[in-house]
Amino acid sequence: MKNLFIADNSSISQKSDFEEADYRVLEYSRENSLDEWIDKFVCEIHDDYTNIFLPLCFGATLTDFLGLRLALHIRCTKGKFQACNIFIYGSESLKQIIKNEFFDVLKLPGIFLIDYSLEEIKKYMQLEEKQVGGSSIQNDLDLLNLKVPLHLFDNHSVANIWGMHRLLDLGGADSKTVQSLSSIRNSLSNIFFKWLLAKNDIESLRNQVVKDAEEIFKSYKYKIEGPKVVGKIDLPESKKKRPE
Amino acid sequence: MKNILLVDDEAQNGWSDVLKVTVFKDQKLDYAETKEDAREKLTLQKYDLILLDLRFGQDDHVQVDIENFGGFEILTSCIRNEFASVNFATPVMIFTASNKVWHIYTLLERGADDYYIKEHPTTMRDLEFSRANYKRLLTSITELNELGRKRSTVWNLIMSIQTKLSESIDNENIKSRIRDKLRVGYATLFSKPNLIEKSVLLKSNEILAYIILWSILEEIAKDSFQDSWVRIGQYEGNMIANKWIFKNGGILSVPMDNSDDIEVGIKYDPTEKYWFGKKVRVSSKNWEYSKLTGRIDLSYQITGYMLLCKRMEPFIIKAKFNPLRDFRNKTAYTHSSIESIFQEPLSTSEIRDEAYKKCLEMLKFLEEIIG
Repeated sequence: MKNLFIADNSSISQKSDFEEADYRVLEYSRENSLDEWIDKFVCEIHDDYTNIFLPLCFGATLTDFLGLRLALHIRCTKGKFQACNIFIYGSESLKQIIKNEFFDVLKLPGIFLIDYSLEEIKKYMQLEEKQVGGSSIQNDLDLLNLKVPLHLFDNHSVANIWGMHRLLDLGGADSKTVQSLSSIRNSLSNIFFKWLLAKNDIESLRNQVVKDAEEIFKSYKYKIEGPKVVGKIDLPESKKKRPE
Repeated sequence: MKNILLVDDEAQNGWSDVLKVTVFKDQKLDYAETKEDAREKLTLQKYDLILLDLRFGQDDHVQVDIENFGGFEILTSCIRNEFASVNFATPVMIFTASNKVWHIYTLLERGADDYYIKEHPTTMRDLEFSRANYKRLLTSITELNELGRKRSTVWNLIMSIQTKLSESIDNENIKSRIRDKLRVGYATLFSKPNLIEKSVLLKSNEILAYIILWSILEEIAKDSFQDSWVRIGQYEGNMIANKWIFKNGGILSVPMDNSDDIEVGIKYDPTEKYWFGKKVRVSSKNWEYSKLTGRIDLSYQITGYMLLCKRMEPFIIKAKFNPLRDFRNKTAYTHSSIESIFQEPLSTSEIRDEAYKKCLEMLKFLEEIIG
């Protein structure tokens, strides 16, 4: 059992309150793109945690309930901690957050909204087992239905970003080696795409996809190689010397 | 190395590089992002494969009618607009995020060869869809490469024959008929029969195309004789002698007695009853004669044409023409030799497999004798 406690920079909690847990502080600045920043924050978590505790509200606008968004980022980020139990602590009632676009995150197995109290948090820190199996995450994420981000002006952009990434993924190519794809890479830190990627992770199909490609290549190679001529090549009649 | 063109307004925003690192690793991938750029490149350069997006920019996205989409315009006005277009034979894969089947159908009808639907979050149902879509992309590209290679070879030969036609064929009507037959042959060769047509209905486009191309020889023969199809000589029940007069004064004589030879020569004197001059003996021992079709006429006429007009030696004719005639006699879709028409199956797989190669040989032969 290993716990991570994530505190807001305005949090009243202290590291000393959770001596047996790792303690990290969110330092969100509005200058950053929200999803890029959260993605970076989550990607810096490398340990395998059983339980992660995070605040329901952080950042400048507390009514955004960014904790729900952060929870979904954790569930959608590949890593040892992806299937951990997530406890979102806050003092707001369900009635206040029900209209938030990420409210449905609370429907996912292993994600809970708890009271912001030391006793409550310490109680859940005793949980020793993850409630979610790694393989069920893809199915769980299908319970959500996220909307296309507003800044992507139409479906055309979504299709292109998704289509390009998908093809790269299937082709087993590393997008980091291609300069012109930097804009795609940034887009993929958006929670909408992270959610799509996580629920449609092709890793389980990787071997089959590689095998398919090899078979197609092999059959084509056979076609283009053409006929083999072994030994003496007989000249056509027209090339032979005319008999006297 | 294949030369591929990607026509897509998002080419520089990633698609070009994505395709380079995934499916076109060792190929040359050019791109055009606007209709104007595409038009210029497609006019100046021959490509091996064209990937064509359907909509260009926001203007196209407010359009509903497919005929107003940029991709449709490029396909119909720059690629498939006329047979002589530089990229007429180049395979076109529609490269779109649209999954509207009526759009796809319209584009295939207008000459697109295949389509790839860029994956879209709302159309993707499961992981198997991704796998199948990717597999289909790879398969399509390999098949289109093969199709493009075949079509370009045939297209180049046809263009070469068409260029030479104006010099060697006098009759305007015949010239026009040959052009038409070349196109019908091309269309037949590369139209795609479905599996039922192939396996149940015994359709073979290659064989049909071969018969069409073969019939061009009749046009050439018709153009080569003064009074075509009218024989000089006796015709009483069984043919005993046949003679045709060439426009250049040559005479073809085909004795149908026990002789194995035909004779061709230049007429010495129009008033003379018999012809003189250079005689060429061509063994006709193995030539087949069909009383049903009279196609022996064509065989002799073309042989005579080659001997006299093209000044070919008999052994060259034997090597080039006879195999084409022999194959024609095996194709029993229409008239064939008397030996095969009531004996052989209509279309054996062996003949089908050979027919594309024979179409190429026929086109090369036509190019040679017309040129």
